[in-house]
Amino acid sequence: MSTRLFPANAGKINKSSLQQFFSIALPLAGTGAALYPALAVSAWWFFGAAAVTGLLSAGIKAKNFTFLQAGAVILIVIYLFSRPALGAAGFIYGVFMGPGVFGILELGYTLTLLDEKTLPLDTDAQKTARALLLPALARTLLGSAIVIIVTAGALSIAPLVDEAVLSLPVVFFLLTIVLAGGLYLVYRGLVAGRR
Amino acid sequence: MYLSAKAKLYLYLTGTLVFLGIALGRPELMLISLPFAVSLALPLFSETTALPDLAAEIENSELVEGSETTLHLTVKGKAKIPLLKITHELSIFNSGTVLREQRQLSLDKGETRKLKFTISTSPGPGRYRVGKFSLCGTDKSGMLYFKNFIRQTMEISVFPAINTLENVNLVNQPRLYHGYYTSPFRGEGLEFSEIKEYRHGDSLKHINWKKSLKWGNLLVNDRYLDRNIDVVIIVDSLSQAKGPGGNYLHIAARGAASLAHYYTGRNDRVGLIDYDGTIDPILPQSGSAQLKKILTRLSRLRESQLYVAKKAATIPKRVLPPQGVIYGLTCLSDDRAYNMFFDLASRGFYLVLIYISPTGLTGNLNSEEAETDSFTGEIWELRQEAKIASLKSLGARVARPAGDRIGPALAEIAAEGGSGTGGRGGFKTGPAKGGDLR
Repeated sequence: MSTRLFPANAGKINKSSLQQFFSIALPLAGTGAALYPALAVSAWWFFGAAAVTGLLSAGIKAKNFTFLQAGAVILIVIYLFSRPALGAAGFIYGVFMGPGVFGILELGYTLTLLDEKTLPLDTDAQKTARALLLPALARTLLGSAIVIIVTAGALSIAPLVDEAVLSLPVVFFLLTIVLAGGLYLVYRGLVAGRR
Repeated sequence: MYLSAKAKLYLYLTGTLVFLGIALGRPELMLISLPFAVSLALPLFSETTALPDLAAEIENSELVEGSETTLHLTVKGKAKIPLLKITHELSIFNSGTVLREQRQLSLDKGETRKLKFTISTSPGPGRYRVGKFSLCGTDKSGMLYFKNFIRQTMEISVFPAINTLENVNLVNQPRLYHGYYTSPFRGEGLEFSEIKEYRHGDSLKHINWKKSLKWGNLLVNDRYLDRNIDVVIIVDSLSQAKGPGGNYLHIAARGAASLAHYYTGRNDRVGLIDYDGTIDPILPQSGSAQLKKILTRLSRLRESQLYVAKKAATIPKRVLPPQGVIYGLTCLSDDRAYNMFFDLASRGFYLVLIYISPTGLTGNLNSEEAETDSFTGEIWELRQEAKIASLKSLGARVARPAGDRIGPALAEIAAEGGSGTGGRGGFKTGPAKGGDLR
């Protein structure tokens, strides 16, 4: 079994290469997400970034989702505390933070489930990767798309409504519910059509 | 179906972030919660999951310690399962040990997969129960999972390993004409043993008139019995000791198996008593069927948890063949076993005690424990030595194997020669010629 990051049969999904790629990529993504405002705002983010990186990497190594949960919560808490100092950039950062944390948790959870030592065949690595990692990636992209749609929708609606009646968070909340409900109805309609 | 850890986390995050977003009036918190909130609806889109069909088959149901076998599992998917974890549970009845082996796979609807689970016998002899499977599958979203147990229980008997015994011929000699070995006992037979003085009870037809006339008093021809020896192996399973040095019951089982193999190989009759406070003997018989019977019983050897039969010190006469040789494998930790062996020795049976020292098995204690326990340990050792000495004084011969193999220790006491007592029924320690048992 190859232990290189990009083995000779690169191009094919290999259980060792996948595991190694994500075990490096996820902590790096976490560090990147945490470092961005650090450069802009506060030195506290450095500590946060170190903690999150350590937790993500330990979580994937130990196949323990609790570490990833803790990492995600720490990232959000640090964001909450630093938000006043971030100013206007804080809102944009918040827009990207949701999909970022979501993606890390999605892929991280999948990797904690997969244990390459218990796969009977190497082809199972490809099959389980296709069955789990690709949907996880798809969900991350879907989550990002929804965030962008809702943000764009809310920002365009916000000037039209009186903030005393409907504040921006409430607009987001309502839009999320409307969007989720709409998507579900479309899905049920598609399923019913198929039957 | 159950909520996965991920689903629970998403639920908590969504709730907390939405609450904080509204409470603090921060729209970006609502934005962070968005993907998590949407994900919570994903299970609604998941297809229904059905448990796959499992069929298990084992290659061998009888194994000798040290070998291994394979459990073949056929899995047939009834629905698509992106990740299915199959955990096979192997439990060893004797020791309560449970070993688990896991396989992960992705299963399509209608797909059939064949998996192999290797059953190793490294934990030692025993009754291995295999075929209990735990299934855990996730749905496509990873938000839900199902778990279930499927039992297709099968049993494997793992017999103790047999070590070759050499030079442990404690009680008899190779015979010249009939079979490999003579019986050590005098009696009615064809093969001549010695000429001895006539004593009351000797048959008149055995009088050697020629020699009697020559020496001036009545002499009779003595003969070997026309049968081989009866051996009864008693394994004391009233106590257990295990540690880095080994497992007492496993060593005892291997020792008993080696003895049974050795004596049945010589066409002797061998019986077994698993002394666990009750007496359920395998009466002495010869042949390979008897050996298998003994090995099967030894594979079921377990520490007795029976504390009620405190006075099962006397093994009934009918169980022990007259002029038989008794091998006792013991660690003498339980006084009931000591009393039983004491009783046997005092009844005049030819008793060979194989003493497996528990201190040799449990290994060295760490320094703190060693300091506090050294005094207690010394007293305990002295008590053990006193027990052994009292058994020896009654004529029992004691072998102390250093490790797993009892052969060298038995060879040692065989080399020491005839220190055994006269057993019941006129048993002597060896033939007249030669004068010892080797």
